[in-house]
Amino acid sequence: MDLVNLLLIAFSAIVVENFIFSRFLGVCPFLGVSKQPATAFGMGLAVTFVITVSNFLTFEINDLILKPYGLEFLQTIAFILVIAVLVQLLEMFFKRYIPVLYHALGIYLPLITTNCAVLGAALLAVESYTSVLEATFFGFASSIGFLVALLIFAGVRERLVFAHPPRAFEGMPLALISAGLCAMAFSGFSGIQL
Amino acid sequence: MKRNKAPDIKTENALNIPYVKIILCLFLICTICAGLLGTTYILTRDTILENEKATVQKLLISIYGDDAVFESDVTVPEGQKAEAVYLAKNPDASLRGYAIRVLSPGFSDDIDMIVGFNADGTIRKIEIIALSETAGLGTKVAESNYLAQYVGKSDKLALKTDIDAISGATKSSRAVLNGVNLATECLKALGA
Amino acid sequence: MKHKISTLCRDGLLDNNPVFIQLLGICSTLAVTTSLSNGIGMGLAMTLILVCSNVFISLLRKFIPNEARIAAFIVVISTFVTVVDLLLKAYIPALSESLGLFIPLIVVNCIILARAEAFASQNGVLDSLFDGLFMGLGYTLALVLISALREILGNGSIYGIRILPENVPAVAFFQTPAGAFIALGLMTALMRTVILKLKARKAPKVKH
Repeated sequence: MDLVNLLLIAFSAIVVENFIFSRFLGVCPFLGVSKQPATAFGMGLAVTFVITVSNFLTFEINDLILKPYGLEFLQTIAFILVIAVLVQLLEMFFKRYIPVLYHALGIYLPLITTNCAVLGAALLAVESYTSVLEATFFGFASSIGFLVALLIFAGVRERLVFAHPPRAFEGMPLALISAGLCAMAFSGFSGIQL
Repeated sequence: MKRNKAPDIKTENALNIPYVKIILCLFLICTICAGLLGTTYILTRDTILENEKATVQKLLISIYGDDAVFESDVTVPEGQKAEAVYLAKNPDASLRGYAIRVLSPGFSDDIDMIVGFNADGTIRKIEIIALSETAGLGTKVAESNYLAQYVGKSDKLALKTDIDAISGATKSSRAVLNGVNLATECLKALGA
Repeated sequence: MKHKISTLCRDGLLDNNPVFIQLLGICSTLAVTTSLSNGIGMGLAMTLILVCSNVFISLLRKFIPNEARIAAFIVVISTFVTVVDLLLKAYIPALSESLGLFIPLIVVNCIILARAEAFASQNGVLDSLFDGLFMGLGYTLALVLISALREILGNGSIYGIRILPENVPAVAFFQTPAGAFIALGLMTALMRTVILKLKARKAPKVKH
């Protein structure tokens, strides 16, 4: 386990295989909370926390419980349970200590559970990494990629408010097309061989 | 989404939460679900394994013809990154060739493939078991007219000099090539 | 039944379409719509799971304590997803192979949890069954439209059969992630216009 390897994982997870723009993981909250940079930042941090901890836990669970007993077909259900518990804890914590953020994130807080980025990160880590450090770091780096995409797009959307598109394109369609343009920019990284 | 308003008030007063009821209820639901899962797993396990075997068998026949006799209990040499080694024999028990199954990391997921070699170590045919590359670009590497350029080649191969890449899908083309090179190494380790 | 079947049908397919109007389940919509066969397979698998989970949750709705509802829903949903995954692997391996990666992702498809929260946990079994069915079909409809668009433009084919003349080049851009976003954006704009037009035509009748 060396530093270069970690840097490669980080670079690949943040720009080359960005969760939003290349793997389509976590697109629902991405479209939902990117209207304001402040909310986007809060959501991004919540997701980063959940993914990093859940990747650590799910990797250990897979290694210590599921693999020895040949129960890999239970991966999906076991992982999602760990994630659900984590999210519930976070929801309670926000409600009690940071009510502003709790109200701002609204429906999307319980929906972090169904944020495919969280389960996706857990399943991808188990599949592609062999050490728990790599897996956890991969989760952390991927969610930073998610946060970066969220912030970039929140900036774009602030400007979209002033645009006057044809009526049919108002709101989501325009946001989706802008996301497509961001994805085009990110696809410039996909030729890089690591 | 809308939530039930009435029970929410109850959450405010933490002392009133009937923990025992929650635990019992979740336990019950988990028991039902575990039963359902276990049953399905046991019922489908054999069929899934058979499907898998049948797929491999079909591909082996497509590589070596239906008069070949296959042996699947060949052990993978130590230090080699192959999934499985199959031995194809002529009806008179002489060697027709080794088929080596490898996983090679592709654009989005591993490409699962079988590389069939002739007895002299040249490539006879390549079959793809599963890949999830970008449809219309990366999936072109699984087409038989693309894979045909590997036939008759041997030793370590390189992209562009030995093998053409599909434009726009260099990563997928390279993944297939890496898989073939893995298989070639494994073949050498087998001493064939 | 509290709701009319025709209302639930209209709601799921058009007025409240999970993809075009509610914008739920976008991740899978973007990821699997590279070919029509993938779109149809994914849509039907999703419909089956949605019906099962809606019925099951509706049956248990009075029994599940509010504080533990999300955990309970998740267990139920992921059970059905794993069951469908295993069944597909065993009995329709070809479909399972072409969807492969995307089946486990159904667990985290927001549509299912959203329907469990918003509908099945508050309505009777029959209502929930039809809600699941039509929401699932609405999702399938969206996948079919988008994947047809992407397959025709991006690969010049439909259901794997080449339909554009050989000298008309396909725009491979529509098969890439960026193309997915843009195809979905265009299709959403189109469908929203259609749905609004249909609503406007129906509105005067309701007023009488």
